[in-house]
Amino acid sequence: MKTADRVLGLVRLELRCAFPERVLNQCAGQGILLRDTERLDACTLRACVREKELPALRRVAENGQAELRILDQRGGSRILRFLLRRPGLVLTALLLAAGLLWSNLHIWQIDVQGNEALSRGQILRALEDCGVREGSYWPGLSVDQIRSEMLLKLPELGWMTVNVSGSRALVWVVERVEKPEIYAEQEAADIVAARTGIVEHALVRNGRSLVKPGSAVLEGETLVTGAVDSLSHPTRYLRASAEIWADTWHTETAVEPERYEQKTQLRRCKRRFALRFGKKRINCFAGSRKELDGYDKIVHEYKMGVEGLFSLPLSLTVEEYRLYEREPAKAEQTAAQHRLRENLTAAVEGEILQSRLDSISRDGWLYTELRAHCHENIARTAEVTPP
Amino acid sequence: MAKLKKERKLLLDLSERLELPAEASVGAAKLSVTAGRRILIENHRGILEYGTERICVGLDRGKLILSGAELCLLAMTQKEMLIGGKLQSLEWEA
Repeated sequence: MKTADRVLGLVRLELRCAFPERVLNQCAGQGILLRDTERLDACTLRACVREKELPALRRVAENGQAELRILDQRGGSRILRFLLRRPGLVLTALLLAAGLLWSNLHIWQIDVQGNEALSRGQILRALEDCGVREGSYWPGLSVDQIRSEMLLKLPELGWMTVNVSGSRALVWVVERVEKPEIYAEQEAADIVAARTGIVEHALVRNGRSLVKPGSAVLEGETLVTGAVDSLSHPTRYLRASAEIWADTWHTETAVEPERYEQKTQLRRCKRRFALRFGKKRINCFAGSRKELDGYDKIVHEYKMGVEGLFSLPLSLTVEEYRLYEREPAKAEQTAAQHRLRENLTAAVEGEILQSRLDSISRDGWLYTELRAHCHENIARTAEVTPP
Repeated sequence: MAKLKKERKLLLDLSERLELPAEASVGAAKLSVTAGRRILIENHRGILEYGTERICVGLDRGKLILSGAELCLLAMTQKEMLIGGKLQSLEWEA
């Protein structure tokens, strides 16, 4: 049964007369739409008709001396009668519909996407200042105005927009790209050693090399100078550019307490429930001010609504408290060694040829030392002012 | 009657020359059959005979006889008629 038939009402009836075709033609002439007509025998046919066309059909049947019998009646006035007998149900449905409509015109969920440097909290606080917060009436918001205000409040923002779908606001942000360091080609600069080491080979693109393969250099020593002498002209100052590959030696040390207290989760778990309506929270437990010491707290929030379609200003908060115990634990050498190796890999612009790790315990502290022999580019540009 | 027929013929000729659809300009009957399962008749003049194996429809000039199985009248208005069922043959009697 189609929705339109359900609303307008459909009647299934049986017509008996000597010439059913004549009744059919008269119905067509009167504008009565007979549907799904079924011929049973020479004098009988069954058909469906809209409820509002039934009185006209009765008149046609009387004129055509046909016997009309209603077999089934669905929707239309029957639904209306059903609803009139249950005013409470109608009122509840109307209230729910009105509540849903009201809720759909307000923002109850704000999602932020595209942020990396800026935190979600920073963006939400700035949005709140611009009038976008939980419970805001979104048809009254102007995206252009919000964007202008947000760009002034957060200089890190390059562009942003707010898309509202149902009661969910999706905030798209594009952060400003940091301007790269731009240097003038004419500015004089030397290449200095970033680390102490022995030069293995040098690749000089611009400037005059002061070191040869096998030279030992100290950190900060000039390796390639931008001052180029000329026989016919005074000394020219260039921006030196080079790759100086050298053997270097690194020593990294990590110190940490030998013993510390570690949390161990126990199976015992407590749950507390709370309802949140907008910004108001209703706790469904007693003693909310009482702090639970020795428990880890995990909060789960379940928003009411249909994901991606709409959300209601109602949410269920479940606080899970898990009991833990503090147990003495011994610091592991491998963790510190792993951290040191990671730091070294990030610091070296080249390869680690050889490395050695040592750990010793002294006075309750664990010392871990990493010694490495590396092959890396030690060239570092240093701006100079020509005399 | 003869004058009406003459007028009608003239209109039919004119609509053919102007390439206008005759069903719209003169109200000529139009039959559309879809996969032998659905038959739409426009500008009919009423149903003359109705059975599950044979339906006879009156037209402005002559009649249309549809034969088949499980034929039924799905909907009928003053100008249009939709018939469902398995159509086997149709005969246009002028």
